[in-house]
Amino acid sequence: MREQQLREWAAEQRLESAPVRVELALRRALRARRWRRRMAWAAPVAAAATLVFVFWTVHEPAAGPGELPRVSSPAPTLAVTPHGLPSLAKAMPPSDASEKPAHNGLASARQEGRVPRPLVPCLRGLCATEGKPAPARRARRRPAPQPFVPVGAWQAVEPLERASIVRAVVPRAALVGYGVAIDSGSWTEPAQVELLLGEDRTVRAIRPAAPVQ
Amino acid sequence: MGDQTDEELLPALRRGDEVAFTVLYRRRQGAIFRYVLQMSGCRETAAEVTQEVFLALMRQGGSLDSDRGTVLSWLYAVARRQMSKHAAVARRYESLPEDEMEIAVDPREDLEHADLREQLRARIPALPAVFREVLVLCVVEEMSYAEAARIAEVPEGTIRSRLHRAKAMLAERLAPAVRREL
Repeated sequence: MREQQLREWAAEQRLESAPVRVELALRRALRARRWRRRMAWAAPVAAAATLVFVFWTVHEPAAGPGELPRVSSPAPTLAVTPHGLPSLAKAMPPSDASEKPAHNGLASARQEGRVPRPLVPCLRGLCATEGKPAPARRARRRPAPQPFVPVGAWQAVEPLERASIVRAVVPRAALVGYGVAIDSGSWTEPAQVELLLGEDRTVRAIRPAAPVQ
Repeated sequence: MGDQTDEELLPALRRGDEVAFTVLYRRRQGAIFRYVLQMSGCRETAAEVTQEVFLALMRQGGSLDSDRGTVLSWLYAVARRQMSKHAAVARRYESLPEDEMEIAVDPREDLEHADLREQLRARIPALPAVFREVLVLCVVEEMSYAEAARIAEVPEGTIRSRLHRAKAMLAERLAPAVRREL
């Protein structure tokens, strides 16, 4: 009799089940979890984008008197011919006009067909004022800098991702060795020059600094 | 998908398949709910623990190794752990020592509930937890001794002896009512 009662009790117990709300809550949780899993990539991507932006913002140098700011894109393409750097001076014309991009000479030369297609891919970031006009204040302070003269076997260098221009004082006699024209002054006097430095901080080109007004 | 075993549903569960989860839930929720209900005696706790057990399945279902045991035994194991966390359950359903168990049931109640099934229903929750557990697993869920032993994490012989002891205790407690009925 007790076994019979126990079986009846068991059969009665088997009718018990969890409330429907439990199933609904679980299915909701499952959907939320699936959504979170799908969106899991969004947070790292956003974080990476923020980091890149912050890094780019922090490391972009301010435009100083002797160093030009880098630009992001598009980078100018500088033609380097097998005969050296004949177009370098054209590629780096004096940026006296604030509205003109600094390598306007290169662009116009290319349009005219005077500049051959580049053998070396490109020289990125060389022209700092690409795409944005130079500040008027700087244009007033730097009237007419001379074009850069390449130093050493520059045609063998790899494309520049970043370049900077620094000022230095060198003996005037040393400039002659680089082929920089000296118009006046004594040979023994020091001359202020602007050096175009590559990523490896080696001098790629040189030009006499424009007198600061 | 309804005819697939629990273990066959696991890969779909890993992918977050809602249908697979629902099939598995509907198949197993009753057993877990009844187990917790009998062990805790509280319907609300049973619902809560059942939900937590299946949430754990949702989170850890992907790492379940079917070679180490069935999904059902894993669910029971999680339910046991979750129940131990419910301090309130322990307070509410602390088993009485055997000598006090007679007092737990009001003698007047015996008269009111002459029906033996009612008596049984009243006496089972008063059994110690280990005996209730074995009753749920072996009588309600009709598990084999081996399965019950795996879930209760005790040797098979212990399950046998516990079941025997549980039935004996019930018979003992029901004896006055049976006598009255006769």
